[in-house]
Amino acid sequence: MIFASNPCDSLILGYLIPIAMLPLIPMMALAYPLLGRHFDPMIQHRESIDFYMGPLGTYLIRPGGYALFIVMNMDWKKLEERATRRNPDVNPMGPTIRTYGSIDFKSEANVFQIGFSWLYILLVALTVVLGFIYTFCKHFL
Amino acid sequence: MPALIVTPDGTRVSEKEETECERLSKDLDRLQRRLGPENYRKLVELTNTAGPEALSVVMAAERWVQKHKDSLSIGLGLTGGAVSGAKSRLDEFGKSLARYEDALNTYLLSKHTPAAKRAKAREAAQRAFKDLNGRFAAELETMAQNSRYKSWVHNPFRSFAGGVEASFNTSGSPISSLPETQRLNIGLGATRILGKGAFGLDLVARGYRVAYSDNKDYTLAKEAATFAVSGLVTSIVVRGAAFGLTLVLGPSGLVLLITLTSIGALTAYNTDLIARDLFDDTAEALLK
Repeated sequence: MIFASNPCDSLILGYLIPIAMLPLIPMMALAYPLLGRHFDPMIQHRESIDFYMGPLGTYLIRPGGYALFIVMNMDWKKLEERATRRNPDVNPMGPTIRTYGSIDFKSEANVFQIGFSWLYILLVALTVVLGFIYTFCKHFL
Repeated sequence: MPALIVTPDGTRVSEKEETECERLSKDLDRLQRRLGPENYRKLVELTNTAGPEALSVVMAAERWVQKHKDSLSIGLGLTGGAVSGAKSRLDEFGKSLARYEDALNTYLLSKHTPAAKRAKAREAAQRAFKDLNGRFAAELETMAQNSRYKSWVHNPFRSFAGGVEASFNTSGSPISSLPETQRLNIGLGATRILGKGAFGLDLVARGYRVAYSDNKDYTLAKEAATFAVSGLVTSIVVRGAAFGLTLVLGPSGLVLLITLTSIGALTAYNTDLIARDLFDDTAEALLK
């Protein structure tokens, strides 16, 4: 068992960090063949910046985004309505909605993609929480 | 599975095209069932004319207007309402476009109406086009220049900007020549430069760490892995935060920009820190 030594000398942190973060590396390699290759051809209008980041966008950012869309099961109409509620002319979500909004990600995905996305997003969320705890330990304790 | 499929009439299509064709034909079947045979026949006739191409150009132009409105409104917080001139001009452009689209639609749908009515509809469409092309020639030119079509022949905006090849190389757009738009462009450019600068500085720092380390292979692997992990986590967190904030509070302009930037910076820093330590610990455990 890999134990990550940490500034809090915490047992649970030391075991949780590798559990949360080591699976992320094979998952990053699997995300493109599982999610990116399936959803990329469905996009009609490439307005989002994700399409202008080269291989970084193709293999990392967009597959991660698709996983998030599957998990969040985004209601694009509601998002657009909320985004333009204050001022109908101002829509900061416009490029994103016009790029991804035509796809119902959850119903397009198969069971493997849904399971993979949940695990991927769960580990990312855990990593963020652990990262904040870790930084707190390092700088404030 | 073969990469290329030969259809009964001898044309070779790729697998991807084949699946897309299947999806399209399913959609068409569904449409036919919904419309009924008579309306479906009309629709097929309509799509066989040059109309849909013109309409798709109008729709692309509308997307262009909306995109520029969005970029102006995102920058609105930065320059404090200085963009209203450019915005009202874009509004007018959008309205003129919508008028032209309506007229074009009326004309295209008048295929089965008496000739006199059809001629009237065509005249109206021509008038709307003249108005659009006369008042917004410069915007249409900018659009044609900025579109990602390298060749003039394949540029869908050529039907708008026809006969302007001579002035094709001059900018001459009222939007970009407005002083407030110039100021806005400076503000947005500064944001872009600052963002790219932070990103570039990170890359340079990583490069230095690799170049001046005792174990270059190990450091390179470490820098690449931590960069990938923190980039992925930050992108997902920022996107989730943007959606969540929009759905719950709905901030816009500078508030949204600053919130997302600070969330992103904090997440990137934390994740990089923790990933670095995990990399060292894992390597120590594995290489012992």
